[in-house]
Amino acid sequence: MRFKIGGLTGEAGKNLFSRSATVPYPREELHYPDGYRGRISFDPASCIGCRSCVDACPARAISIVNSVRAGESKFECHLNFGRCVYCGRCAEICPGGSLKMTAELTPPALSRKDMRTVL
Amino acid sequence: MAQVFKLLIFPGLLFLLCYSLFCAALSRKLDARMQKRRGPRWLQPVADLMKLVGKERMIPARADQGLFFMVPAVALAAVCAAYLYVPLFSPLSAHPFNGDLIVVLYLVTLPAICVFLAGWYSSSVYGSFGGVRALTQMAAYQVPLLMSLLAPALLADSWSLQGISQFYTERPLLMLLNLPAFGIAIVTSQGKLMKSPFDSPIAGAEQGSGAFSEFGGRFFAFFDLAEDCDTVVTISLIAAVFLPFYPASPLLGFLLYLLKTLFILVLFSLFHTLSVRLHSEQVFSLCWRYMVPLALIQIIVNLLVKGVIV
Amino acid sequence: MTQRQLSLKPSAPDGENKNCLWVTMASDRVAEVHLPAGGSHQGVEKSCEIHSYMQDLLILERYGGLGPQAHAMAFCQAMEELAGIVVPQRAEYIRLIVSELERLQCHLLWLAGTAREVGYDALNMYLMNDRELVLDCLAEIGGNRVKYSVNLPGGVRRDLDEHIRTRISEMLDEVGRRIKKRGSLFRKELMLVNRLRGAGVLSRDDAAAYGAVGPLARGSGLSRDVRADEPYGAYRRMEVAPVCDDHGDAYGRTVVHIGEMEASAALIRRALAELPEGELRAEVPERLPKGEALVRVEAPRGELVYYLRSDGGASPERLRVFTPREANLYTLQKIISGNYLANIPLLMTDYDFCFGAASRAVVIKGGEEQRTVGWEQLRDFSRDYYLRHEAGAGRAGAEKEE
Repeated sequence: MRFKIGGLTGEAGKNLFSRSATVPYPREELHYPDGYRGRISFDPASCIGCRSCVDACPARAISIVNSVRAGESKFECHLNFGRCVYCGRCAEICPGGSLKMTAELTPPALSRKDMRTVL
Repeated sequence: MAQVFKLLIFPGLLFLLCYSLFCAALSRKLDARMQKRRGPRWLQPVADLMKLVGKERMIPARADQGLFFMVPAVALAAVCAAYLYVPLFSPLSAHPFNGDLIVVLYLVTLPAICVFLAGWYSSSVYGSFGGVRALTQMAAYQVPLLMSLLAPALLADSWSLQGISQFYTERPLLMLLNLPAFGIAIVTSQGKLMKSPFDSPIAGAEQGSGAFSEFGGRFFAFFDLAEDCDTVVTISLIAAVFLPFYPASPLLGFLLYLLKTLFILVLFSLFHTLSVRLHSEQVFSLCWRYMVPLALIQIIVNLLVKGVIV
Repeated sequence: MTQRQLSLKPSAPDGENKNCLWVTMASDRVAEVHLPAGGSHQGVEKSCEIHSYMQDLLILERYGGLGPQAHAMAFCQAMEELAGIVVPQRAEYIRLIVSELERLQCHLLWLAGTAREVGYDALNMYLMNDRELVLDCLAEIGGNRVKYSVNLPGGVRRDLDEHIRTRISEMLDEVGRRIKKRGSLFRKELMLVNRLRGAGVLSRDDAAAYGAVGPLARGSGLSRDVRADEPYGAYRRMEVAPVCDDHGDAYGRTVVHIGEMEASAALIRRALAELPEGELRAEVPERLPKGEALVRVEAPRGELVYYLRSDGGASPERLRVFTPREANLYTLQKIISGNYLANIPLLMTDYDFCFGAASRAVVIKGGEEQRTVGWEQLRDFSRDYYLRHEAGAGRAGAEKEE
C-alpha cells in the first residue's frame, strides 16, 4: 500500500486564509432554520384556557393562569425556562394556535427565579 | 550601563519576554486558523500569565518543597541566559565569544531536564509518568537536534556563532547545503518544545498535565513562560545557524530578524498542526531510524565539502 | 519489572465522561485493567416506571449523549408492538432516514474523537466541521441539532417536504465528498496509520466470546448488524450489508466506520427516492394493553435492546435498556490490556465512552450482610474508601516490585 505524508497540508494552508467555522456569538448573529424548536411565544388573545398544554408538557414547565388586571380578565402563560426541554408538545397540541415555537434562543438567566417568566 | 541595558531590556530579558508572549499568541492563532477556528485573543498569553501568578501556591505535602520553587526558576533562567549568546540582528550577540554555540546548546537543554525533575519530585503518579516521558523523549530527539545544529558549524570550521555567520556571509550558496539539517532541526525542535508529534509528556487525556500535574499558579506560570521563551530562543538559534546573513545597519538587521523568526515560527506551526502524537516507541523509531542517519549524512557531506573548499 | 497503578478517573486526566478506570502499568504497557461499572448511574429505568409513556419518550431520547433517534425509535417500536399497531410506511421511511443521518453524525464524531486522541487536532476540527453539515440538516428536519425528536408512538411528528428533501440530497453530496477525502486520509496517512495499527487488538473469537456489538465487533471481522440479521421498519425493504474488516485493531474499526458512513449515505438516497406517500402517524392509546415486548435496533454504536413490560397502566411496569455501550463494557477490558498507556484514550474513544449510558447500580456488600445506606452514610463511606485506596497505591509513584 502506498502511503502519504502530510495529507492535510493543502487544506490547512487554505484554511489559514479562509473564514473560520466558529462564529463570535453574540457579536455575530446565528441563523436557525424555520422549524427550529426555540423559544415559545404566547398570544393571550387566542388562548381559550383549555390547559391542554399543561397536560401535554412532560416537564411540568408551563401553567396557564387566569389573571385579572385592571378589571380585564385574560389568560397568562407562566413558563419555567429552567424546566422546559423545548420539545414543542405544547405548541403542537394548542387548539387555538396561541402557543408557537419561534426560532429564537432563550437568553441565559442569572438566577433560577429569573427563569420563571410570564409570557 | 550599556551592558545592563543590553542584559535587562534590549535585547535581554524584557525584549525576550515580550517577544515570546507575542510569538506564543501568534503560534496559537496560526494553529487555530489552520483548524478553521478563530483562536484566542492576542493578549491571551499575558492574561494567562497574570491569572496564574495571582493564584494560590499549593505544594503537595510529600513533594520536595525546595525543588518546587527552584525548578521553574532554573528553567526560565537557563533559557533567558541562552538568549544572550544568540546573535539577533548582527553577527555579534550580546556577549560573543569562541564556543558560544556549545554554551547555548547546553543551556537550552536544561528546560527538558527541569521538566523531568518537576515531574519526578512532585509526588504524583501522573507527574512521574510525564517526567519520565520527557526524559525518554530527550534521549530520542536530542542527538539528531544537536547533530543538525552542529553540521553547519562543522562546515564553517568554527564553534562561535559569529564565526559561522562570517563564513556563510562570504559563501552564501553553502547555506543551501544545510537544508536537510534545517529540516531535521525543525522536526526535532518540536520535541524540545513538547509539541506534536512529541507532545506525549503533556498529553492530557491519559495523565493530566503530565509532569506539570501538581504545578499550579506561580510555578506553572514560570514553566509556561520558560516554554514560550524556549520557543523564541530555539527559533533564534535556528535562524542564526541556518540563515546567518545580516545587513549592515542594525535597524534593518532587527527587521530581518523578526522576518526570519516569524518565518520559522510559521514552519513550526505548520509542522506540529499536521502531525500526530507519537508514543515512545514511535518517537525513538522516528528519531533514531530516520533523523540520525540523515543528520549523519549531512555531517559527512559537510566534511567532504569542507575538504574540497579548504 | 516495576508496576504502577494509575487511575483514570472522571475528575482527573482531562476527564471526558470517563469512569473510574484503574490501570496497573508494567513499564509503559498495561498489565491489568479494573473497570468498576457504577460511576455514572442515572436511574433512568426506575424513573421511566414513574412517568407516563409520553414523558418516558422524552427521557429516553436524552439517555446517551448523542443519539435520540435510536432510543426513541426502539421505545416507540416497543409501544407499537404492545399495542399491536402498524406504523404507516411513510413514517417508517422517515424514521430510517433520520436513523441513518444519526449514524452519519455519530460516526463523524467518533472519527473526530479518534483523531483527537491520537493527537491530530486539525483533523478533529475538520471532522467536527463536516459533522456540522449533518447537524444543520437534522435541525431542519426535526427542529434541533442534537435532540431532533421526530418519533412519536405510531409514527413521526414532522414530514419531509420537497425543500427538506433537496437539502438532504445536497448535504449528502457535500458530506460524501468530504468523507471520501477523510477516508483516504485515515487509510493512507503514514503517521496516522502507524498510530492506529496494532492498537487494541481484538480477535474475532474474543469479540464473539465477550459479546461485542456494533462497529467494535465488525472491526474484528464479526458480522453482526441488526439491520441485516433481524430487519425492522423500512429496513425490511432494503438489503443492508454489514461492513466488516478483519484487522481487529483501531485501524480496522476506523475502516468500518468510514465504510458504514458511505453505506448510510447510499441508504438515505435510496430511501428518499422510494419515499411512499401516506399518513405520518397511527393512533396509539395512552394506556397500553398488558404484555411485554422486546425490540432490537441498530444504534450507531451497536445493538440496542429494549424490553418493555406493561400492566395496563399509564406508566410502564418495567423497562430494561441494554445499550451497546453496556454490551461492549466487558470487551473494553480485553482491549485495553497489553497496550501502551498512550493508546488508552484512543481505545476509550473506540469504545465511545458515554458511561452515563453504561453504568448500572452497584450493590456494595460488606461481608455477609447487605444493607441499605442513607445518603450521608454513603458520602462518608466513599470518603473513607478513597482515602484508603489512594493512600496505598496512588501517590508518590508507588511502585511494587514484581
